[in-house]
Amino acid sequence: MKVSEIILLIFFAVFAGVLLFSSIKMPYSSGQGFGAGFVPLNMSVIVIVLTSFIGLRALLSKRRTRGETHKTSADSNQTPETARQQSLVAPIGTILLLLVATAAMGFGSILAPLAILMTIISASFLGNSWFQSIRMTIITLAVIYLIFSVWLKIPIT
Amino acid sequence: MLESLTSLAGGFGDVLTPYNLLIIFMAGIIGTVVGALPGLGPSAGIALMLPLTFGMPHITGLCLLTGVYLGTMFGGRITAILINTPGDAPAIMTTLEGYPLMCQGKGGMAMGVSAVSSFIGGLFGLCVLIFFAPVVSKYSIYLGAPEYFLLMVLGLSTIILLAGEDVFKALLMASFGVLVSTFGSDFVSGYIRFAFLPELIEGIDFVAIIIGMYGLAEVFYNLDKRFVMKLGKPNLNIKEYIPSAEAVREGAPAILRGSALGTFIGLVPGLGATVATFLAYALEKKVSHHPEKFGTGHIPGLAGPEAANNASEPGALIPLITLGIPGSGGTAVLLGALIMFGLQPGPLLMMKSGDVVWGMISGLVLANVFLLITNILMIPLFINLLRIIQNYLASVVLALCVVGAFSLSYSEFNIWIALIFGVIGYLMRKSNYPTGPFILAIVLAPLAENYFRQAVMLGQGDVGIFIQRPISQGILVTMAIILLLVFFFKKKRNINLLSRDKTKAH
Repeated sequence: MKVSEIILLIFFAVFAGVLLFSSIKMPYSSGQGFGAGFVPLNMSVIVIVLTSFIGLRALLSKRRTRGETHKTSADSNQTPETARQQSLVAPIGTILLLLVATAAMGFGSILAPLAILMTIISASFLGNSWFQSIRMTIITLAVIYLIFSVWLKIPIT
Repeated sequence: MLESLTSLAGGFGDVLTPYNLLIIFMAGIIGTVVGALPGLGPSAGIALMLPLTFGMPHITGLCLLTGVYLGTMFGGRITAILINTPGDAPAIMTTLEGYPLMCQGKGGMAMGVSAVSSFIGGLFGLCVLIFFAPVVSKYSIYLGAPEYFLLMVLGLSTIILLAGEDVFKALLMASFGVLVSTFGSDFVSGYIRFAFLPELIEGIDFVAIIIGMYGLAEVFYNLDKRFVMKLGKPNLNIKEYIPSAEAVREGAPAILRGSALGTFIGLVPGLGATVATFLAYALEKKVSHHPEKFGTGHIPGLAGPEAANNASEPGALIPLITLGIPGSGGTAVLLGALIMFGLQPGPLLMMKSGDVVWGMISGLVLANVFLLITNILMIPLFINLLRIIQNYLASVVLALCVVGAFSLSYSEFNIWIALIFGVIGYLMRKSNYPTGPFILAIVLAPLAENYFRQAVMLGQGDVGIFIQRPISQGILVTMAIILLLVFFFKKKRNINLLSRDKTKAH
């Protein structure tokens, strides 16, 4: 089971657990029908059950194949651990940068944090020079400003 | 039928002026550009153009709005194919086959197929609108909450067809989608669910979710895989953008099926173009002799949903015009426009203001033709634009997604939503979890819940209401037949695969 899947399943389980706890307080039935809590309560339980089932199935499958992998030789095409970790730097770095930029957008400007974000991603992860990155960022944001703010009157600054 | 043709001719007589033709032409282009922008769809396009119609003659104003409406349908495909970021919800299915074609260097051809399929689907839907609107309106009033609920269940059952290899993962994603859709105020009782933040009182914006799950997730995934598009240098080689005879042959049956299905779905208020595209994709996968090709740039998987999408929109106008019930978000804004013009949508609209309605329909026919021409001519522009920015694609797509999410409600909250679902979408892609069931559940679950609870109240707590009404019984029988056919064909395919493997082994 991949680490990404483990994280995903944990997220689903926690999410469903929180909603299950909240939906217990909602009315399950009302008058001659079902109440607001009917669907969230049942679906939370289903999500938890399915998450547990998929996790358990993966665990059992891993134990079953563990014996077989001892017998086979190492796969020469398997990505080394360091290469795999290096490939995660770009997406995780982008996510963290986007997180910081979104938090900064709360101070009034959308385009300023976005400009810094775009430049860093282009120069650090896409292999472009800083000059090229800044140039493309300025052009892109100018076009976005013209379309969204000037033409469509959406207040993006 | 003769009466409809006469009325349509009268409509054309009103619309065919140089001024109206220019308005329709510009409306199509504006709609295409607006529809291509993430976060802006038919509703936003019509709402933005509404102020321009003040002071215009009714027919001209309606032609402008419906031209924009149809244009956004065409435009939503552009970013879906080029950068895997659907411009609106119905364009989600376009990403499944259109984007893989783009990655193979056939983006221009994909856009050509999309434009032609959209045109034919739109034409089909318009023919149904012109000839069958009065007939359809007579019978659609017999559909009640139990029937609508069963139709939603029919739509949700296509989750099995979108499941891919692992049905349990698909069910988990569908259940997660249902849970996400419960945020906000409950339609039936008004009870506010899970409003942990004030912004959640209105629920989680669906468009922010798809911007994150398709746009941002694709950026993160491509950075992970260090995927770089090799599109070559900008050029104007027209042959690249015209579908080949083989592609046309491959896509033609799918276009016809998608057109028929999309028109039918559009007639049912609430289902809309998104459901039409999902069902069309599922249908193509089911009838295909090569279902393993879906997801790799298969032409029928692109053509069918495109035709269904555009066929459903004229269909969605039928309940609007004849019953005053909007069939989708875009038609809901159109309803407001009709009222603003002093027209009252409903059974009497065609009697009291028939000239305006037929003028609007004529405008739609012309818009459909103009959009085919302009979209085919604009394909080289978009492809070459992408070629220029291909080395900076991740940062540009990220910017479009962020700005698109912000433009939904002018608040950073939707950017956060897009980011969260972007991370979820990225993890889902890495772990092979299908997104189709999740999106389908988000679209259909609130409607299904609403109709289910209304139906149970109608039956005074008795769930037997779902099997007592004749139309409900008909829908249940249809579902049972479809289920049997699915199992039968699946078994037959498994037997064929087994015998093929045995032959290879010998």
